[in-house]
Formats: sequence, C-alpha cells, structure tokens
Amino acid sequence: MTEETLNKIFVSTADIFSDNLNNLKDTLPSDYFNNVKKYHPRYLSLEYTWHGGEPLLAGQEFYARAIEMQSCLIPKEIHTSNKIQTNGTLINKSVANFFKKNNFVVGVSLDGPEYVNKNRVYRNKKSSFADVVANIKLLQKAEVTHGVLATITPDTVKNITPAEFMSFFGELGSNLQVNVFYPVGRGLGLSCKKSDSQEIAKFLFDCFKIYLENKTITIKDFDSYIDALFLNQKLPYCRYTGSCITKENMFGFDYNGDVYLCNRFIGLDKYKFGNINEVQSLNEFSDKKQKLYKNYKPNKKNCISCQMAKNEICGQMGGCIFAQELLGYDPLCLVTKQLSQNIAQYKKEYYMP
Amino acid sequence: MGAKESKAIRDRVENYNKVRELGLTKDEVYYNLLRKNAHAEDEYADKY
Repeated sequence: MTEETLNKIFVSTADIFSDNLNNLKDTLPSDYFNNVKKYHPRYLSLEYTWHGGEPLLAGQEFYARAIEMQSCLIPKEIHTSNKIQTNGTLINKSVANFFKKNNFVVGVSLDGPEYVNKNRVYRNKKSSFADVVANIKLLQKAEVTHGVLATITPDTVKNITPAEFMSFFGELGSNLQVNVFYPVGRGLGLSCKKSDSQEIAKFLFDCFKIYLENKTITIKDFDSYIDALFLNQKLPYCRYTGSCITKENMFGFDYNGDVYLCNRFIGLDKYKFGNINEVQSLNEFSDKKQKLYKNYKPNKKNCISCQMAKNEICGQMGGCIFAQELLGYDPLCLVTKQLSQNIAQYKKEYYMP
Repeated sequence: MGAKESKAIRDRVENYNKVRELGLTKDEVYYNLLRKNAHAEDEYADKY
C-alpha cells in the first residue's frame, strides 16, 4: 500500500458473498462522504478493492450492479475506481470485456509454473494452473489493465531457479508484483525462520540481476529498489516510512466512518480512534495518534546495519506496524534488508562504480 | 569496471526525469509511477 492510497477513502469490501448488495449500500452513505469531504477536501477519489475469498464467486452481474450503484449514489465529483484481486479461475471472455469496459484494474494470483503453483488448486485438488494462464491471456487480449501477483514462499525458492522464474513470467507477458508470504492468514503454519528470509532474499536478488540485464516485463517491486538504491528516492510504501503512525493526518476509514491507524487495523479496537461522524475535528484523532506514537516501541533490531536505514530510504520503524503487531516483527523487512544490501553492493561493482 | 547498460534502470531514470519536468510533487511522482504500472498495490489482498 502506498501513502497515496492512505490519502484516499479506502473501503474494504471483503464480505461480498451475500446474494444482495446491502453491504455495498452500507459503504455509500452520503453523510459519510460529506463528513470526509468536510475534513479532507483532498479526498476526491474513492477506490474499491474487491477481494475475498474469491470475489468473482459473486458473479459478473454483482459487479454490474455495483457499478450501477456507484454511479447513482456516489457524488459525481468523487472519482471512483475499482480493483479486483482474483485467483483468475472464473475469468472468461465476458468477464474480461466487462473489466475492460468498466476500467477495472485486475490482479491475478499465480506463483509460477505449475510445479511451483501447486498450492493453487480446486476443491477436488485439481490444479488451476492451465485455466488461470488461459484466463490471463483473455485479459491480455481484452487489453484489461492487470498484473500478476506471485507469492514467494520458502518452497518456491527450493523448487525453481531465478532464471526459470523470470523466464516463465517473461513469456507470460503480464506485469508482475512479487509478494513475500506472511505466516498469517492463509500462510499460517508456514515456516518463517530467519534463514527462510535469507533464502528468499537471495532468490529475489538473483531475479533482480536478471531484471537489470534483460527486462522484458515490468516488476513493480524491483522498480522500487531501482528508485531507492540507484536514484536515491525514498520508497513510497508506508511499510518503510512508518507514516501510518508518524503522520498526524493519515488515517484508515471503515465504511461506517470508524477511524483507524490504517485500514489494515480495521476491526482492532486498540487501533481505533473513534468515528468521523461523532467529532468536530480530526484533531481529536491526531491527539490520540500522537499518544499512541509516544508509547509505541517499534522493533528496530533489524534496522541496525540495514542499507535502507543507512541511506534514510526508510523511516527506520522496523517495517509494517501491522506485521509487528501480529508477529512481533516484519518478515518482509528482513528480506528487504538482505536484498538491499546485495543490490547496493552489486550496484557499486557493476553499475555505478 | 565500467557501468553496465540496463533497460530497467534507464526506464526509471527516464520516467523520473519526465515527471520532474512536469513539476510534479514527490507524492505525485510516485502516484503516477504506480498508476502507470497498474498493479493492484494492496499486497495484502493476496494473503488474507
């Protein structure tokens, strides 16, 4: 997530499996928009991110009605956009055309070739790989703005070489985002030792080198490392800046107006500041945030000797605060630390001596 | 050792220069980069 995302109204719409749109209606009360606009005139865009479970189980008709409702209920001056994160199995030609027509940005989960993508199976354990690849091709043909999200686990790096990984996604031809797994949610129970982070960092470093030598698709995460370590740009991700807790006017909003440290904390009372409909000024929340910040002790152990911290590319907050709350540390920060060290050294040797 | 040529780096430099010429703020620069890449940036969506 970027800081810019947090500067928007962010509505999470995970629970869309009911057969009506009551949940969606709840996200669109005009009072809520009026209040947000009153306090934050900048918030002129609304971004729906549809995820689940599998959001396409709701069917294309659901999203057609959602679009209709958005156009009827959301004030015209608020720009509305839709993103959907799907496993890709239920995409067909009609769905792809619908996405194109309505400017959906689509993320499809695919971890690599079939022997790596083995966790993504149907209920009957049959691999979804062939269907997903075919459906990504449908998105490409319909010119839908989309990207593939590959989750890297300790298993991934054991089963595929970086060259094979890059070659597979290069041939697939869609832009890529590389996620490192977290041992929570669906990743619960997966091993997450320090050595795993090191192995993943090494794998990604080798992929990064291939990316520098022969870029065929765009990999957003690698571009961020180029921005940071070659162009001395700060990383825009809140995970690295700690902006959720350090910026006094940055909040996450739930659909009902509840205000949280960021949208990841929605539902966690410890990080709820109140409701936007019940205050005269957002300063009341800023005060609460300052108090939280004063008492917050980030795990900065991994910031020591980290290239990102050294170059002030990040905010030295020990990574995502949500991850620290769940796990005590941010595993992605460990990967970033190792990877950035490798890249910095590589840059010095080969690209900017 | 001389500097290697890299399309990936060149693309980022070009992009950075372009948005700087437009006089965009740092936030806008990143926002545009992200929009251009058109990825779903919510990395958590795939995990929960």
